[in-house]
Amino acid sequence: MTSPASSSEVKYLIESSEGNTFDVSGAALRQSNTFNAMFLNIGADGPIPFTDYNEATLKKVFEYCEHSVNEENYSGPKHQDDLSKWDLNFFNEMDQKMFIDVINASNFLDIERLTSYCCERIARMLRGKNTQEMIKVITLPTAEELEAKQKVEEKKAAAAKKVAEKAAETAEKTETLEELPVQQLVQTTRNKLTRKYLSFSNE
Amino acid sequence: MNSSFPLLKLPILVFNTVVSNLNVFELVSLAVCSKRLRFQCKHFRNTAVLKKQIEKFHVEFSTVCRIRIKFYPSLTSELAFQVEKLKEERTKCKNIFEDVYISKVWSPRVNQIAHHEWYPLDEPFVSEYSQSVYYSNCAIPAVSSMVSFLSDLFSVPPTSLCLNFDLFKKEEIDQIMTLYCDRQTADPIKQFEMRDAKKEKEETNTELVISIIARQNATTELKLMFKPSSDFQFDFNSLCKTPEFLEFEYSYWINWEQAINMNSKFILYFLRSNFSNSDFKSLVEKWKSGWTPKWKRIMIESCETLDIDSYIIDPIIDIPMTNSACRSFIEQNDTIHAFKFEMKISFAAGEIIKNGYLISRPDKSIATVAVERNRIGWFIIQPDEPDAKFVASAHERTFYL
Repeated sequence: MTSPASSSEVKYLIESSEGNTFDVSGAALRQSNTFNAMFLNIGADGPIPFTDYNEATLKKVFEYCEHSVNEENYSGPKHQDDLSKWDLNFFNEMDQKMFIDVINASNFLDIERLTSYCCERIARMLRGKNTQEMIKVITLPTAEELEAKQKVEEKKAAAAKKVAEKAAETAEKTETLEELPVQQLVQTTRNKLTRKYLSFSNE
Repeated sequence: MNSSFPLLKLPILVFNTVVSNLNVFELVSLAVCSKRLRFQCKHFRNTAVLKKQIEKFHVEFSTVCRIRIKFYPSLTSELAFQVEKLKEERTKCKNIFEDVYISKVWSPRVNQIAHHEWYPLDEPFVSEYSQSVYYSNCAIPAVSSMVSFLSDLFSVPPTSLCLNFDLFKKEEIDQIMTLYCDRQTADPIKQFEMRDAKKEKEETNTELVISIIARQNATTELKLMFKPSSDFQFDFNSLCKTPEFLEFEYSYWINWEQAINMNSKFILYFLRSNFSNSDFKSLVEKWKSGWTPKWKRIMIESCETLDIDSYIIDPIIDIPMTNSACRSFIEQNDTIHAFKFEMKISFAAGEIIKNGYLISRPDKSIATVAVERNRIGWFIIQPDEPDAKFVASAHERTFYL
């Protein structure tokens, strides 16, 4: 189902990096501010491509969203001690790789509650530690890793610049965002977010 | 999940959310782990909202050098660092900048302290995180490195400096003044305090003292807490800036004319002065006859008993405590120009009893003249605004008389 809707019964199709699709309820999806900004009012024609993230990660993220559909509106970060048994199990059953993927996906989808709980969980690893213990926790990257990361960032920045220029050209031709095809809309929004991220990290 | 986490692999916004969950000491600890972490922690703090959290950034050059940052009111925290000579083996320490070391197990001592010094048992309480940093060669460059690091991390310059001048050589003082007080410095400190540590019979280096006072350019607060010789002189018109608050711990070298004509915008405190009862009386009479000083509040510790009842020649009525802070009550009684009051203020250190008068002039100006323990005299020019609350002040010196 891919029509605009306000009812929680409505299901949306999500596409992962593997090209697989799966259903997510509208109510769960609406916890994502990125989704709200892109699709809530205009609907999606076909599966929604969140193709930077694999199926396992996206399913984990939306499992959290489905679970918290009936919780009260999010009102700021909660201390870990206040988390429910379900929340704790949810976090504890993830390995580190999955946890990082979930944070990244949650950050991109702008799911405040999940991002905040993940961050609080990381902060808890650092809290009360002395510098030596902190260094052990953080696992500082080596010089080679840093260099590689910088190269990737430069490549990404160059690619984002190109896409942004293209998007700007496209935007000139298109009168309103609503008239864009969904795939292009996703790309345009992603570009905007990428540009926001890049300008932020370059400050 | 592992107990380790590759924090630097997180997107910067997520990193910021993580560190927003840490206290200020944890943030400093994280920032000394690596250059990259320092940059990212600085980036997190570099927002207008977080900069506003800093109430005071104090640097003290004394027998033990100290750095203190007060985060208030949105963060009820305080950071306090003592900069000490390295006694341990260097191998037990981590070198964080040139000649600055911290213990490898650097974690803070935490105290709950009251935000208001005068009310140590009353809320709001502030978490004070304190710890030592070490140097092996010289204290001044180590303090400066630590100050620059904190200043860079929290994106604020130091706001307050205390210099115990006779513990340092002339060249060292020169270095300190250049770093924090020069007019060329982008953000010179706003509060300056000058102390000495000499023994009773030692002579003060007058030339050095004058050069320091002339060179500092505090705008908010200037406290001269040293004990000069009785023939010491300084022309306060030569100050680079006019501070809003001026305090003299030993003011016996200042004469009365110099005191009342001083160029402070708001407040003057003269402790251990040579001012007499007749000097204080002349101030009341001068004000009654129409003279208005540049300052708004003066406190003197007189060398003799202040008999303020003898200053008042107008008809007097007693004013109840409830009306002693009220302009409208005084304006209703326009035939009376002196309202007698007694006020008790309780602090943790004791109770202060003020006896005094609210006096008015035909131009509707109102001033308070009051005395505590017979020798502390206050003269306060009250605000002109109809709804403004009347000002009453206290100084801890009263408890020592």
